Amino acid sequence: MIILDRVHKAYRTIDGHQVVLQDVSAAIHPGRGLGILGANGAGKSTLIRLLAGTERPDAGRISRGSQAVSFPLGFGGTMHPKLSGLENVKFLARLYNAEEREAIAYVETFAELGTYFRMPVGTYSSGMRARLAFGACLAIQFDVYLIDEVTSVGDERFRVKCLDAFRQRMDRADVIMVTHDFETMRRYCDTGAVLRDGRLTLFDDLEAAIDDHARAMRDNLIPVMEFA
Amino acid sequence: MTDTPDYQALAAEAVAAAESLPYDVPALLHAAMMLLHARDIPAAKRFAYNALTLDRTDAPALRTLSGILDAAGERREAILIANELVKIAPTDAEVRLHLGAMLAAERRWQEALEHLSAHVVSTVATPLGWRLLSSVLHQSGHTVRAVEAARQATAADPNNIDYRLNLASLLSVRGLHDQALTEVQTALAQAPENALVWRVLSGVHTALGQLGQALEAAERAVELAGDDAGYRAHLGYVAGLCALPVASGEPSSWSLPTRQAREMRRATTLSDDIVTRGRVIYAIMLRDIRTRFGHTRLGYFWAIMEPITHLMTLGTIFYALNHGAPPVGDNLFLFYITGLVPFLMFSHVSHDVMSAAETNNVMLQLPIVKRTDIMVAHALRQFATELCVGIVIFSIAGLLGQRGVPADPLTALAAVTSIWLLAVGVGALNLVVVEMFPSYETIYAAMLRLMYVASGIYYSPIAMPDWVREVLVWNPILQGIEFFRSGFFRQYEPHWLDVPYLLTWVVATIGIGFALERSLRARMVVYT
Repeated sequence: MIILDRVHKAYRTIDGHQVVLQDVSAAIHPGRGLGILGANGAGKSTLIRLLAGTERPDAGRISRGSQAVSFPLGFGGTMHPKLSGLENVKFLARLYNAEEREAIAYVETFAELGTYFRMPVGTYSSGMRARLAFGACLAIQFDVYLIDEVTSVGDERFRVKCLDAFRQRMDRADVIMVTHDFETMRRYCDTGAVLRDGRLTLFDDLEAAIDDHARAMRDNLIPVMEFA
Repeated sequence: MTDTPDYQALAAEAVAAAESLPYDVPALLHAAMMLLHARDIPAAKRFAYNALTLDRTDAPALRTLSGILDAAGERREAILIANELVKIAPTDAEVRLHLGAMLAAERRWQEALEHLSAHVVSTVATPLGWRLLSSVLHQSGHTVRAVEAARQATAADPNNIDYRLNLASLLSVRGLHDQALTEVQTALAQAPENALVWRVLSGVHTALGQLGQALEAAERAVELAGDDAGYRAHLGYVAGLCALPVASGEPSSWSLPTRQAREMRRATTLSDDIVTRGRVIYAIMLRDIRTRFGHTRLGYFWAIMEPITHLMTLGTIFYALNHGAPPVGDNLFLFYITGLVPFLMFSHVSHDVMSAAETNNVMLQLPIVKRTDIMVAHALRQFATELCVGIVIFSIAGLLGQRGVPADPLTALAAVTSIWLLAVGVGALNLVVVEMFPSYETIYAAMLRLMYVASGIYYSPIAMPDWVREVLVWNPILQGIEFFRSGFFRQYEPHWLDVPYLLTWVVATIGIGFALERSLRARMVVYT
């Protein structure tokens, strides 16, 4: 269980203070997939990074219990450009105490990088980078996978493969995801959370969360002028 | 099965025989087995227990009782008895299989792994043993070995559909979908009407992104399985991937995979934490060596050669300019070196620890990596490098007929360690300051150049006027260098050397540096 205890997080921006979380307390239960919804700029990615521990709250505590929570997946920012894909995977396996040989073998077949696997990550296209990151994350057994926009993974066929691989993991691990693609979210998540104005509302049913979010989004829409 | 023997009659016969021979273990066990076949489990249990009371260590009795308890659903008891039997007869491979299977059913993977591994290396290894081992390996996260075990099972019994499907799904889990496809197609040739084969085939096609074939196979599986909710759910899932309306009624009938209750990881303890930190620091060191020194061993060689040439050049220039007698020892060049080596160590280490602050450090995107891990890894890596440099330099001096080994190695080592720790502390302080004022980095570089002159590398404080010396001795780096020289040269004990003063600096900088780093960590986070 991930517990947020009176968590506060804000950014200083050019036009003042942007509050992402305002005194939020919540419990995310294991055994269920959680989809996080919110308008652009509401701070969904920040929330994912807070859950991962990449960022620390300004105040309050986030406790992950004894669960192994993954690094946030979705942007390829965790790979060293000078090292090859193989060396990056080796480093991650060492860090997270996974068996190096198995992790490398898994990523080599999963990411479909061919000879690029042994070349510096700096030479990769963004799609290849994302494939490497997904493969590396799947090669390590986490209890919770944090995914920020799966749709960033290149072509449709590989996206299906990724999603399928995550489904295979779901008997042993949970997924917390941010995506604009509600259909994808429905495949992984049965619960939802809406992030709006610094408040996080948890819903036991994803559909209720989507409804709530959609209603708020419609309310915010500026009425369109009608031309007769 | 059509001609089952009449177990009722056989059991009655065996019971009569056992009752006439109440102290005969084989007779009692035979009766127990017959009763088990006749489905009279309580009676079977009674007879097996009776046999065991006659001889607590009788292997067949233990085996029979464990089997009966397992059939009775008392698996934990059965495991205890089988464990006892393994202690008595550790070479009995059949018992290992029996025990391993029960442990696997209890989800006690580690123990199951041990017994099943013992079973499969024996001469009576069974395909079933390999099959169970494969699942246990998969459950404990060893997928590569799981595939190997699955291959063994299939090789030993090539006609078994379950073994082959197990192999195929494990290959698929490992991402080897092409090989998985070959296996499923073989299975399909063996059993074309088996719904499970079609179901696995559909899964493999899905993983390969071949949605059309996946859909076809899923439909065939549902057709063959009749009204099976799981198969229907899979069909719905594949149809959903194809963005097709599902033919079977509900618009989106695919469901989330069912979750098994999983074991929670045990809470982490302090010693786990220390192990994790050590692992992380080691991984960072290895990675740094790769990124800094390139992919060849020659890279690290140059990393050592660079300061060595620097030292040799500087030492030689000063040596050529100055022909006086050295303040200590009998060679001016050696005197310079004993100052330069510790000073460069201070300068490199303090700079490297500070560089853990680099805002583009991608490693900090990994929550398992703490900034202090990077600082410690940098400090340790640089310590090792500088130690190599020192050893090479002083060996060269030794080869040239000069003193190459410190007169008092322990003092010299203590001095090197204190300078290193001072550098780590100063580096930590620098890191905090540079986070707040990025321009500090150039200021620190200027300060280091000042220190280069003020640390007594090319002169001894003894040569200075009293008032200059009074000021210089407050410099902790000079204190460190003098400390090193006092250990290197025989009978060099300068009266201004104050080791407790140096150690106060060490403790203070490390304490304040790391405390500030910790308290300011929340603010120092990098945004991407």
